[in-house]
Amino acid sequence: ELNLATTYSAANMHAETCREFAKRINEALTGEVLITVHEGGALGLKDEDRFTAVADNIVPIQSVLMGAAIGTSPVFGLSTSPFFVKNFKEAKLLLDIARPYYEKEAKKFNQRILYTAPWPPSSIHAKKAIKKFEDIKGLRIRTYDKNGTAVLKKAGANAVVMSWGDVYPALATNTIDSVLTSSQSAVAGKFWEVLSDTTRVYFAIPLNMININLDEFNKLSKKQQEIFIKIGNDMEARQWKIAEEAMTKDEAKCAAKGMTITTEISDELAGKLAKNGQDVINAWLKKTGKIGKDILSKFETQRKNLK
Amino acid sequence: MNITLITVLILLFGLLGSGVWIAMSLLATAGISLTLLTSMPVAKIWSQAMWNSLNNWALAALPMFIFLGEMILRTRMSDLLFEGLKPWVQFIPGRLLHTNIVGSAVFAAVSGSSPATAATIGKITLHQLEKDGYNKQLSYGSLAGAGTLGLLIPPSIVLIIYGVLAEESIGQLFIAGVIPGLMLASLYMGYVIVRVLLNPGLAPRGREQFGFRARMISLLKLLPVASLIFFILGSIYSGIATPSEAAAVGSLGSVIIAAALGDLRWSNLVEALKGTIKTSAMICFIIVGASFLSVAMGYLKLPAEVAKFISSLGLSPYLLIAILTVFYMLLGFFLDGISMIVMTLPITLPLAVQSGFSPVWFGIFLTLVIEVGQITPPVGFNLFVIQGLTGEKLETVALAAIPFFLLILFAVALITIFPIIVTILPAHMVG
Amino acid sequence: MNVFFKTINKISDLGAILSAVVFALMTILLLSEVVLRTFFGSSTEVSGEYSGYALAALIYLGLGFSFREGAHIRITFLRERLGRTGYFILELLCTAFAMVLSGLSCIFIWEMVLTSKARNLVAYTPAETPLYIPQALILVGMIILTLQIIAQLTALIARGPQAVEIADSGAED
Ligand code: NA
Ligand code: NA
Repeated sequence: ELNLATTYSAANMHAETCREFAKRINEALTGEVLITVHEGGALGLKDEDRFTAVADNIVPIQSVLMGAAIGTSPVFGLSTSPFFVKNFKEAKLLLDIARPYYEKEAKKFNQRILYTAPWPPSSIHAKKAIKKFEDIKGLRIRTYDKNGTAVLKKAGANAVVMSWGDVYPALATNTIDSVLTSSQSAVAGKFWEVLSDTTRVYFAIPLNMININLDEFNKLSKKQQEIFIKIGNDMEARQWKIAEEAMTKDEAKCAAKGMTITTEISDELAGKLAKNGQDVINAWLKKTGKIGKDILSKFETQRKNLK
Repeated sequence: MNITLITVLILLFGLLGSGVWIAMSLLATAGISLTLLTSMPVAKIWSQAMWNSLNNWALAALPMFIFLGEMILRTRMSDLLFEGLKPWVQFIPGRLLHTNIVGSAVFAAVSGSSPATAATIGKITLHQLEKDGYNKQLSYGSLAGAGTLGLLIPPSIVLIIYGVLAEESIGQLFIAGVIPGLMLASLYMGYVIVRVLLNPGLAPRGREQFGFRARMISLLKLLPVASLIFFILGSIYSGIATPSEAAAVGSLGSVIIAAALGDLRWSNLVEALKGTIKTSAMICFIIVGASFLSVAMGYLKLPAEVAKFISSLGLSPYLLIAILTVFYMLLGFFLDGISMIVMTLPITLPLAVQSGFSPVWFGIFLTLVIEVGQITPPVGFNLFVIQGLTGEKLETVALAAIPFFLLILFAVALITIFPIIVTILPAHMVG
Repeated sequence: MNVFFKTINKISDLGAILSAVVFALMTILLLSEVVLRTFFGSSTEVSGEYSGYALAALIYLGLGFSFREGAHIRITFLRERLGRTGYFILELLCTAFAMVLSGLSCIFIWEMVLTSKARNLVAYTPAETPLYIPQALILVGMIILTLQIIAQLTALIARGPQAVEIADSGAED
């Protein structure tokens, strides 16, 4: 019997994929393995605890936000680098290249990655479309991590970090006038009640990894392990597909409620944003040394062949 | 499941009944039942729970609001408030007894938590009401009941958590809470009026006459507290401060107004700080215990299994709500509101929606049934607050709260039969 | 013996003073956030995160003091129905039990602090604060509480059943 914990609420697509994973495992291994999914914060863990919680077997399987594990393992920070990958294809390529390094790091902390799951990219939701680099200047924008704050500040915005619970009241009272988050969150927060525009800036395509404690995994028979890996692969494919679809679907929902969606940004804006994001990459390279350099050089070569 | 439930109940009642401090009883119940019933690394879960439960920005408002209440109590602000109110409540049966209810309803508009509301208002009112000879039962009960308005009248921590989990608009939820909140406050006031009409001895005899001049002077006396409330409300609704920051604005405001009244002395400040630390430490340490117990319940899967069982029954809408009310009432005996939502929502929300209730309606329903849990023993935060403020026994306070507990259940029935009470405002909201 | 009690009281008082200081700092931090955002279009970037640490620190640091002052509540139903000796024994058991729990909590939190330090755990926030620092503060608070409970237990044993006052409740101001 195994517990699987996610931070996310029942309606969230990550939670849904976790449930699907548990369901398929439970069906395939009836009477042998039973996975129970705990949604939301039911087990009292925070994002930053999750990676080590698997290591300690507090919860044997967890959905871990990679970006939250950077204290122990800086290498995972790559997936949240702002304005680095430009679309899902690039994100997948980057993951494929980095995957062996991620697996090694996970093994160091007594766990194994069952599958990875991307988030829909964060867009800028505001009272105007972001067309030029200049448009970012003066935005009172809510961000959720260090990278977002640093990059948007550099672009002249008043970036403030705010808990999700404070976002809606702050928008309603004009304490902030824009939010950096996924369109899924924009739908959840019913942003159309207060905002008018969504601009797809591909801030980042953050990744979660669904990890299992290695002791628990080794307790499984060879056959059972294979089933875990196989279903994990299926879930990975599933989540990559639905994350991309979710972005367009949620944007359509926002549009139906009267928001204007800008899906393409100018080269000027994209270029300047990427340049601003370079600092974060450089800092990451410093922390990860040779591993970081390896990943990046492979990525830069193969990125050109994409399309 | 049965053995789990029995173990938890025996531990909890055994420890609480023997007189172990409430916070410690909850910690121990969680720790021991996890050790006995699971193979989890209990020590790690234990320390995580002790850390994560209080490393929480949303709770930071609690001590600041308690400090605000302390400052009002320990300066002339509270005396002025009561003198100022007297002429205006003269003809309402129960007179100053209504300060608990009206005070909590107004304060609920700045505070998002139930114990913070009860603690702040109680600090100011309870001793004064007792001194003036008002009936203790009504005074404690009305405060316990009215404190729960903190969750229903926006802003509200519970509605924020619900909004995030259910992916509903927090704005809509906030608006939806207004009418039920005012309705509940009116029910409380109506009850107090009826009780006092039936038995005038519950309130002291005061037949003072107040002329025009006295009334005008009384308005001046209300000025300090009124401007403090205006200060806090203004900071939220003008967009200067978030609800969690408003508590800090209020703390500063209370110091400024104390100074303006010429009442800011080092001794006042030290006493207020001491009181703040004592009350906050008491409440928050219980929150630590309650969180660990909730986490333990999560690992033991108790609430989720019961919720699943209910969902397997295939009940009619009204019966479903009746059963869910009982279910949450039982959970509310032991768990805190937010944990109750987190653990059960994935099962109960789809159930309610299938039965034709809107998610916004269900959010308000949940808030009401959670409020019930705030005033039922053995784990009822508003009861603890009043116990801490007055030194009364838990039994006494819990008994005093019973009529108000029934009134909340009555409110649940009203919104179930007339859902429009909840849905009318959000339906007319722009957008 | 007197020195023992005096020292522990001093330590609890010190905890309370620290708690008050943290409370003031937390209030100032949140006010600064309001002022910076409203008038300077800027942000402390840490107000949400640090107010969480501050709350945890101020509560735990205040535990010893509030315990001594009898602020922590309990249910007195059973105790009041026992005689003097029964009351004494029950009180002894409760206090000893609290001491064990509090001591265990210290050990568990100590292990958590060590692990956080060893693993370089940081908060998932812009400040990326190393978590062992705020966690160490709650450890200090729990140690103070444990000392205070030990003092209470010692006093109880020293005075014996004859001196026990059957209090109405622990929560008198
Ligand atoms: Na409120
Ligand atoms: Na309760």
